[in-house]
Amino acid sequence: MIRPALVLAFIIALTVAARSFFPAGAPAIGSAGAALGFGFLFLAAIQTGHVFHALHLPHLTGFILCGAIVGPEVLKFVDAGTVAELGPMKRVAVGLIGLLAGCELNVRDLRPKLRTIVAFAGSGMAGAFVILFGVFVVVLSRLPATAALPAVHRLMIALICANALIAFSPPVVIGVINEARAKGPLSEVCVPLVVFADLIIVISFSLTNAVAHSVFPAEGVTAGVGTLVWHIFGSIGGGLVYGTVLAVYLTRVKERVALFVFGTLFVIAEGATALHLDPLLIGLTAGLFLENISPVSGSEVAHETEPAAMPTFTLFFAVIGAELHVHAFLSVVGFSMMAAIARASGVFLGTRFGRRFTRAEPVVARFIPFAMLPQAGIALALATSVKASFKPWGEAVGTILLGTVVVNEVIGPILFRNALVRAGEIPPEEQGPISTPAPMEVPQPPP
Amino acid sequence: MGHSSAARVVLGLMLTLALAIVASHPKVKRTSARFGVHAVASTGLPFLLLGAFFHLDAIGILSERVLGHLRPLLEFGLGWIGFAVGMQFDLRQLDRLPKGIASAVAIVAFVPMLTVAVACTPVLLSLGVFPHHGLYRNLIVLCACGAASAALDKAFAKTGPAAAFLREITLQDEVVALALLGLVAVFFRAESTQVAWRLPRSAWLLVALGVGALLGIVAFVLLRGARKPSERIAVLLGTVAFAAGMAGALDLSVPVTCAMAGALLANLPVRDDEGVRKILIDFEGPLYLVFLVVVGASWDPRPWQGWALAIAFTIARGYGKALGARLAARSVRGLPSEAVVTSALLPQSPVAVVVIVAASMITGATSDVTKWLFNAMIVSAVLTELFAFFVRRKVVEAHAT
Repeated sequence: MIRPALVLAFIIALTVAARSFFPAGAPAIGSAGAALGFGFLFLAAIQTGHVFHALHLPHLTGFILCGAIVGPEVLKFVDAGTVAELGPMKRVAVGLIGLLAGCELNVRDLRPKLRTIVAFAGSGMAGAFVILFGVFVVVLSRLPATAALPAVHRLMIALICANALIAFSPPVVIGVINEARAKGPLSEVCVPLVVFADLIIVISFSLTNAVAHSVFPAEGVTAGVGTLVWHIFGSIGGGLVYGTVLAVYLTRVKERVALFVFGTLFVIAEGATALHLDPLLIGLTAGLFLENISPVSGSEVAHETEPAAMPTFTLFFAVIGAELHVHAFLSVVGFSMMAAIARASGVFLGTRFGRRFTRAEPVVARFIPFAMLPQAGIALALATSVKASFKPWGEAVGTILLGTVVVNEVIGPILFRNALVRAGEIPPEEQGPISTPAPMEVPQPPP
Repeated sequence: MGHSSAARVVLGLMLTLALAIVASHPKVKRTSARFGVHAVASTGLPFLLLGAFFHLDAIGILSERVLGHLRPLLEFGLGWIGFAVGMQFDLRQLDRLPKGIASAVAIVAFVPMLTVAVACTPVLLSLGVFPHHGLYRNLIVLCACGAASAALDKAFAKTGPAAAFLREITLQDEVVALALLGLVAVFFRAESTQVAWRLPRSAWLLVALGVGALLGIVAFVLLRGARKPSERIAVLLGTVAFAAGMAGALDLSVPVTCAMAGALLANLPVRDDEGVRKILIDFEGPLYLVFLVVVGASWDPRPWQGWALAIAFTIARGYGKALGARLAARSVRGLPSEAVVTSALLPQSPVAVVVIVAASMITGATSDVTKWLFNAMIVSAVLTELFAFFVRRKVVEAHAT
């Protein structure tokens, strides 16, 4: 732990020294500043990940916290412009996460667990929704921005808030499982569960959003069922095309697969943004296609892309951290903590109820709620959407939502990893510090 | 971004990707190698053309705004290429070669530099580039470009043990080119009024050396802590970006600073240094192609001055390399015949384009002269590669029989 901490301090010192080249208070330092910020964020995140691993905490939380601390809101070593420029990389990472998750999901193997997945996903989301709805009804009646609104409007806002906050985080769950090399019944159920829930959230939030906009009309908002249908089915269609392209490449060319996957995901990331499609869903569909339909094995793609996955995930989570609204969180910390506790309680109560409908293994039934605690990308996007779309109350309510996501984003991965350890799914060598010295070569005595 | 421009960007990216896929298909590679198309493709011309095509107003994919967004990527690419060149400077490897390697590199690098300087000075003067217009700076940049030879072609493996000697020369003359670029970066740096540090030029030389060495140590410390290959990739990506960013922020030459860091790293006891080199090489190719697409957007082949300079440079460099090869083959033991050395060293290194771009970035020169130099490098690369392709075939076959 000492070594990565020292290296981290050294990198910070170098960055501070480089910044002294410019007068105090000088604006951003151009393209070099972006490259410096990118490199600094990358290296600092890796070292923080090591420190966290030595403390038996997920790397991923280290990446996120590192991004938050060195990001534009706290130490400002990485400015907002640099974070924005890393947006395409973030979308590539989301696509890769989806692809790798799809490649791991064999429908034939999953069929016996389908009931468990649906029961826990449904009950967990429903439990969280009910309790969050109740909490927000109370909170909104006391919040200055919403207290004066009619009761029906407050109920509508509570509905939106509860819907936004029941979102889970497939990237975080997949990230924690991958970095810890967890294997077992819990890990197998977690990934399809959060992915399935993700789809439900996208649909339910879009519908809620459409209803909300009929109550709170806003200019320039065109979200509707057509957009939703395009978003989901367009993404699935895109994923099928991408899966076919990958299958052809893997059978005909089969050279530099990782590079090809990365390049195509970059195109998809840019294309998806322009066409309002979801890179996660595209990647996931492609992965599912490869694993379950095409003659190419999904594990082959996962194996080939493994070297590129770690850097991509590191950057992804560090950027997610750098995007955290730390100041907003601090201004609503009390409300956010309350909402996070309410959400967790709802998930636990819901899944306890859901156990009745499935014969899940005890270890799955006991620890599955922990997979539902982390939040990141989609929850952040929904919270930001609330903040931007609904005037004048959206600002205050969106800030509470963002604050709640921050709590779950930081604490969720720690609790989930701990659950995987307790479930016995993380191999012992992955539980200890990563910086354990490599086995020494002992000189053999001459025969 | 509007729907039409978004669609164009996506289409452009798909086209680039499709080109890369088609080019990497084994059948295409075999066919292009047979007909010599490979020789032109290896200069990166298709990607430069693609960049220029994307930059056209009617296409509008690589607009000025998009190019502005891609500039950090350009810095990173320059840094990566520099780091890879620096990693070639392994003293242990050099010690294993015949003793004349230093003399051979000096001769085959400095003779073409001399011929380029002699031929290009009157051309530049006649084009109106006088000393107060950056004549000396541009001449040094041209000389640096002239020194570097492309990596040794696989066909030379047939020449036996001398191939290793030739390979090392082609690697080390790139180091010479970057060293010259480093001098340009220090002694012709554009002084900005927006910076806090005020140092004499000689102090900037020390800063450049110090920063390069320090970043080499950073890379070493970080790589010592990386256990898995994926972590080494992450560390290398981060280190090169950090080094490139720091060099750029201090207005130092990005490839030179990264090359110094790479050279130091190459001579330190890095765990799995072969793995590190492999990562650098694996990423270098695609990064270079993306780099070419981006710089291709700034390529303007229309001004006749660029073509005049190209002709002078190509002939002078070719003659200089041939003369240098003759002198080296006669004076250094262990080198093959003069014809083999000439055909091996004739192709121009991709580092030449890197030198031009990096020099324009540090000196702040975005004038027409930079465009002429850039055009000269591209034309020279294509012409020398085509010429070398046919000479190589003949020479290597003759040597094998």
